[in-house]
Amino acid sequence: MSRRKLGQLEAEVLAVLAGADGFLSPNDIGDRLAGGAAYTTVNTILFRLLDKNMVDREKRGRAYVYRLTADEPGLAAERMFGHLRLAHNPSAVLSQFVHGLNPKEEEALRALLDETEGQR
Amino acid sequence: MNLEIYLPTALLALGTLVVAWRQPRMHPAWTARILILFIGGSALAVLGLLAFLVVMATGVWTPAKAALAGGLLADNGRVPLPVGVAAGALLVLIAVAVTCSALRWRRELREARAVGTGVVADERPYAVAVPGHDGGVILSSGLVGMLSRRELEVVFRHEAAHLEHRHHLYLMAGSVFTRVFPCLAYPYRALRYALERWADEEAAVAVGDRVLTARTIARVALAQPPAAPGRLALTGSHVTRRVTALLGRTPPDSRIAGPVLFGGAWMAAGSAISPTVTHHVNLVLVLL
Repeated sequence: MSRRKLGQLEAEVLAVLAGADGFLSPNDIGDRLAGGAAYTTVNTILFRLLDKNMVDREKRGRAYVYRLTADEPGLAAERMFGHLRLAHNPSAVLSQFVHGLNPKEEEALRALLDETEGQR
Repeated sequence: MNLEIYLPTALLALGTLVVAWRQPRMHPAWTARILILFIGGSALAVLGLLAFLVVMATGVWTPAKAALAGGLLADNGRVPLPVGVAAGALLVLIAVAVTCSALRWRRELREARAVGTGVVADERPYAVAVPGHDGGVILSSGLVGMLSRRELEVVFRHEAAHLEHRHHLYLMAGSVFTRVFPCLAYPYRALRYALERWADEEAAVAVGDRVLTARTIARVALAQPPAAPGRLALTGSHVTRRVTALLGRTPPDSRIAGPVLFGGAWMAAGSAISPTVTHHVNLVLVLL
């Protein structure tokens, strides 16, 4: 297994938890990570996430099981850097999921979204 | 002075523009690799050329050395002083621009790391990947509130792909190269798009649903606060193209075509740079 950075693993663990309904044990999570991950590594990540209010846990038998919560903001908004600056002036180090749209794009995108709605 | 010394650099830059404009249909991962190679090659060729012009014009060479260099100098003739001065000024400007970028990145990273990763209380929906060992994903509560769990998985997968493949290194390198040679701004935009597509495709494979991935991107983009008039209104973002691409066919995995074309690009860039650079380096060595 290639050495993965904690930040990347953290995002992957969150993805696994988001894709699962209900609680998962660290072993389940490790199995679902691409390439697998050691139990202790997964636990380290889970403790970090617990600290950040991203997951909560429950005791099941002797071990803990975890699920995604992420609905309690763990970080204060005023400490967040200028998002608007970032949205309109893309950064090379911080990749954003999407950027703002201009009116023409917005129209095109709404049309696309309606189309896929029809397919479903 | 002979105009031939500009030729390899000009050809390579032209080739880079063509590659960015007429991209072969392949997996975005390979498109991104080929683009950064071309962009880097062009920038290095420009740097080599500028350095060469400065050395040639400032008369570091003496008649004795010129005789030693013999054929090499006869090939090129003298570079007029104004051209050399202009080249030197450009080099200084480039150095300043690159330093400014580096300082900006350091500040941005420090700000992001000060926030830490997790959910930030903010109505505006956004997600940011923070690179580095202690990096991760910053989400806004606005984003978490508007997305289903499956859609959140798309966001996490997308950002994890950025972190896994170290896309920030491509972006930083590309940005430096664009500072060196502003004509590379267009290929750099193509690179940014390819990197987003790369992460989108990985997310689509991981969640196993291209339409869901496309819809998530579209919904989050539509929920953004309206863009301030100006910059973005002109260039637009890549969102519509990304969504259209995800709704279309799966790209080929380019397991063979990718490396082959990458190798070809490597040779093209190398052969354009090496005569210029080796020639310039030889000349400088002889003169010094």
